[in-house]
Formats: sequence, C-alpha cells, structure tokens
Amino acid sequence: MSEVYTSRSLRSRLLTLLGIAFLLLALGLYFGTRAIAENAADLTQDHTLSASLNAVAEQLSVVDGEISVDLPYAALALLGAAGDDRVFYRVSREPGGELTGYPDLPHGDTREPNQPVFNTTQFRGDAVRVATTHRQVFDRIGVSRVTLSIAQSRDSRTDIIDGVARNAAVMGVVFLLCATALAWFASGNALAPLRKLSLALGTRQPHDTRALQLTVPQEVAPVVQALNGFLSRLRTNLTNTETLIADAAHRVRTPLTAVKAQAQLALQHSEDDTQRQRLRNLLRAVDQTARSTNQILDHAMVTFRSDGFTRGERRERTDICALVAKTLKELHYTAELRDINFDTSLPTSPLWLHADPILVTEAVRNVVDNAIKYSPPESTITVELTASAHGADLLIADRGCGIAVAEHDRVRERFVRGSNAGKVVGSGLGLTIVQNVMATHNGRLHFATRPGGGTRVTLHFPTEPTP
Amino acid sequence: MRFLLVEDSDDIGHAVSARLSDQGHAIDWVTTLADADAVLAASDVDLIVLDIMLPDGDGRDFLARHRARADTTPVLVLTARSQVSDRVSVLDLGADDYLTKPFDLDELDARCRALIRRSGGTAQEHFSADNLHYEPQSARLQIGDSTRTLRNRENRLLEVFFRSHGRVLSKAQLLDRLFSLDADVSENTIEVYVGRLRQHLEGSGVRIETVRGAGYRLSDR
Repeated sequence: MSEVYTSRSLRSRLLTLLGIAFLLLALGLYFGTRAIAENAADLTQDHTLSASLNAVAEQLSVVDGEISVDLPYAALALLGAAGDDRVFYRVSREPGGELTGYPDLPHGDTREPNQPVFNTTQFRGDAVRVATTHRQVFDRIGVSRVTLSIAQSRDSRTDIIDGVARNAAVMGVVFLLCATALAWFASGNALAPLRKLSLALGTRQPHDTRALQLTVPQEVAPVVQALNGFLSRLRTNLTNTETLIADAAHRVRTPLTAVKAQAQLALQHSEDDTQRQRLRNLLRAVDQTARSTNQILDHAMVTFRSDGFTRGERRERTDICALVAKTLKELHYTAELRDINFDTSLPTSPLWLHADPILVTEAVRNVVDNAIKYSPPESTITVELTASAHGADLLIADRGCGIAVAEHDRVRERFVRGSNAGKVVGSGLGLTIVQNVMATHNGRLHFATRPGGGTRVTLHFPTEPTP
Repeated sequence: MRFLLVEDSDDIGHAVSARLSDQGHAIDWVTTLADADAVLAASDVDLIVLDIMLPDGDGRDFLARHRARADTTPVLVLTARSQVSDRVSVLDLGADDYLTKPFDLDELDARCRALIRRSGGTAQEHFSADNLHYEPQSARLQIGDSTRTLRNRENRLLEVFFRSHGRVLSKAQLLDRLFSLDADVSENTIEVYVGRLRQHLEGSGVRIETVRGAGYRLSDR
C-alpha cells in the first residue's frame, strides 16, 4: 500500500467552521435575549413608577392655602409588592423645602411639568430607579413648584433579567449541541458520495479497468470523470502492451523452434562429447527462452481475458470435470515421456461452474505442468476433483521437491521461483498465471506440504465467480 | 509409415523430417498447401503434420477441406500462436492433436506415435529375432508366449538399441536420446534402465552387452 499524505479531513474542517459559526450565533442569542430582557424590565419598571408617580401627584391638593400630599399607599404598595424591592419617595416644593419622604433622595432633572424623567442612581447602598416629575401648584404664597420622586430598588429587575439570561444560556447551549450534532450528520451525509467512490475503487478486481458507473453529486463528478479517463488510458495501454508482447513472442517462436529442432538433431547425431555438452547447454538456453516466451504470452492472454471476465464477458457454464479430464489428456504425452502416471479421481457426473473455460484450463494446465516438471520420473501425480460446499476443489499432489512453507506466498509473484527449483527449466510465471485466474474467479490457490515429500496444490473454484 | 510434413520453415522442416526418418518413417516434406494437396492426391499417407501459417494460405482451411473429404488420416497441427482459443479452434476443425511451437522433438515423436496407434489398422513396424517380437509403436515386447508392455523410457531405449543393432552406443549418447527433457540425470540412470531391459530380454535371442570403456551394444546371443 503506498502512503497517502492526508491534510485535515473535510469533515473536521466543515465541523470546525460550522462549530465556530454556531458558537457565535449562540453567544449572539444569549446577549440579544439579555438585552431585550433588560430593556423590557426597564420599561415595565418605568411604567409602574410612572403610574405610581401620577397617583401620588393626583393627591396633591391645596387645603387652606397649604399644600398637602395624601400619599396613596396602595400605589406605593404596588411597587413594593414585587419581590423584596424597597420603595423611596420624596416630595418637595420650591420654594419652601421638603414636604414629605426622604429628603436625601436626589430628584431627577425635570423640565416640563407632568413629563416624568427617569434615571438610575445609587441610594443608600442600592441601585435605584428614580422617576421624577413636577407640578405647578397655586397656594397661599403664589405659584410653587412641587417636585415628586419615587424610587424603587432594582433587585427584582435583576432577578428577572438573571432568570431570562439563564434560560437564554440554556437555550444557547442546547442550540449549540443540536446544531453541532446536525452538522456532524449532515457533513457525513454530504461526504457519503466520496466514501461510495472509494469503496467502489477499493473493492475492484486488480484487472478491472471498466469505467466507474456511479451516480454522484455534480461536485464529485469531475473526480469520477478524471478517474474514468485514467482507467480508459490504462486500458488502452494494457491492450497495446498485450499486442506488442503477443507479436514479439510470435516473431520469436518460429526461429526458436528451428534452433531447438536443429540442436536436438545435432545432439542425437554428434559423436563428440565436448560438442554434445555444448549442444546440451544450447538446448537448455533455448528451452529456457522458449518457456519464458510462451509463459509471457500466456500471462498476457490471461491478463487480457481476466479483464474481460471481470467486466462480465466470457462467463460460461463450464463443466470443470470435463475440463480437467481434457487438460490431463493433453498433458498425458508430456507426462508419459517421463513415465509419470496420473492417478485421477473425478466425479462421475458433471460439475458446473460459471467460469471462463480457457482461463480455468490455463490454471489447471500450469499446476499439472509444474507437477510433471518437478516430479521424479516413474512417479505418480494424484489428481482429485471433488464437489465442495460452494463449488469445486481440485487437488493436485506430486512427489516433487516441494515448495518451502516460507515461500508459499512469494512463488505467486511474477518471475519468482522456488529457491529449490534447481536446473528445472521455468519462467517464474506459471503460478502467477494460476493466481491471476483464481483471483479473477474469486477462487483460492492453496499450497501444502505432502507427507512423504512433494506438494499438494488445491484450487478452489466457487460456483459463482462474484460473491 | 508414410508421413506428410507441411512446413515452410527450412530449418524446422529439415530437423523434423530428419528425426522422423530416424524413427523409420518415410517423409514427404512440402512447403505449401498446394504441394500438400498434390501429394495427397497422388498417394496415401499415414499421418499429416501441418503447420498453420503457410505462404499460400492458412493451415486451418486445409484442415477443413481435408475433413470435408471425409479423410480420416490423423492430423497433428503445429502452431506458433498460443492464444488458447486457437488450440480449441484447430481441434474443433478436426485436428487430432496440436503442438505449440517451440516444441520438443521427443514430444512430437510421442504424439505421432500416439496418433498412429489410435488410428490403428495399419501394419505396425516391428523387429523380430528368434522368439522375440517387438513393436516400438505400441511398446509391446513379446518373447515366446509372454507379452509385456514397456514403460515409455524403456521402450524408447530399446528402440534406440534395435535401430542401432550391433553398434556401440555410449552412455552419454543414450542419455541425450532419452533424457533431453530432464535436468539432472546421471549416467547411473542409464545403467538402471539397461539393467531393466536386460531382465526383459532374458530368454530371447538378443542381449545388451557392455563394451568396456565405450558403452553398450545390442547383439545376438
């Protein structure tokens, strides 16, 4: 797996941005609500004060030329009734001095009669709201200016505002949590097409170069288009490469055949030991070249057909039983040259798979061919085909040199041969071909060491190549 | 046996016909399909070895024509392609067997034998001496009343001895004839096979004698 350098995830970026926005909104909500509450409380208090002030002012009368104030306690009681608020009042005249109340309560600065003014000040250690108005009164002396103030402490106002602010804070926190949770889900949902895309790419077979057929939002479409363009170029390259390999191998084959046949003939008729040794070396080299050429071509063919198979082409209902029998019959001559027998056990009835028969033949042929190559002469190769739970198991067991357990995975790689292959001619592509075919068919290639020496190769073919 | 070899490469044609002649067959070697048709029109052959890519056409067309005539002469196809689908198609067109180039002469030999054996009918080439009757084609060795079928390598070795009756063959020569497909065989292997053949030949009029420092020779008792 190549390393991918990632920056911060899209989701956490989205969440951070949205989170900051939500936090600002929640703070705005809190302070806004608080300001509105303060304003409302002030208005309410001012109205109450104003009403009380009016009620007091109504009671101003001139009796016998003297100004008297008959305080309406009910009006004042209204002010005191709300919570623990204290109420102060002062009525004074000008000229003439105090009439009643707290002489140290500062009057507000009134200009017009009957127009109350409001101000907030400290009085006897408390913050108080003071409403002040004045009236012109005609008494014995003449016109006097009577100034009336009523003050109310602000405890219950503070209580109300604190209550509202507490509620606003709770609402803000709840909003923040809900919005963040929604943003989490929404960002996950918005990024789902990307996950779908990576899943579609991640679960692809290695040879699948089909264009991606995904319905994605238009923002993701350019990515899919770019990927499909890349896949298409890859497919063209694959095809070109295959054609090149096939042509090249074909051109090399005929001359190789001539060299090999001539060398074999010369070897048979030569009487000179030194010359024969040279011819043997030559034959070995030709064999090695021929083998590699054949296998490279077969590998290209398998790669090409695997690609097609993955795209859904060439899926045929195949009787693996007949296929194995036919392959063994073809390899029979090669085995016979070394006096190797097949001990074959096949089911009596057909065993149907959905497969590419040519690819499967190629896999079976390579495994059996290996068994023949590495087996000692006059030995027996066991071939057993059995129906298994979801397909067929083909066992091919030989008495050859075996594959070291540590190399069971490595020998599937291209151009890798078992370290004990010795002088046996080979290309290192046979098991790669088998592995490719098995992967394409969603099957398995398994190696085991055979008691008494040799290799047990198992090919498991599922009935259906797609899971 | 009379073979028709249709192959346009001189080197391959030469080597194949030399090898098959060594095995005691008569070879008509032609390089074009037209010549092949001419040979078939004039004489009967026991086996056709046919290349696919020829200067005047595709061997598969020839094969189709051949089968259309209801001619049952076995055909072994040589092909330079290895697209597996080709193998199928030549067999479908009526080829009895095929070999992918580059092939081994021993394998070509083995397949020719098998095809002739399968087609049957024709009188088999044989060697006789006294009470011994040996058919290399079918690997049958009969001495007196007892008949045995030889293993492939035993058969090939005995055939070499019979074809060089009376001549001394070195171990190295025998090794090359028999084990060209094998990587690690020593001259001891030849001794083992000679030992077996001596057992098989007991009670017959011929024997394999050791010629000191030179090798072996098949001679009359």
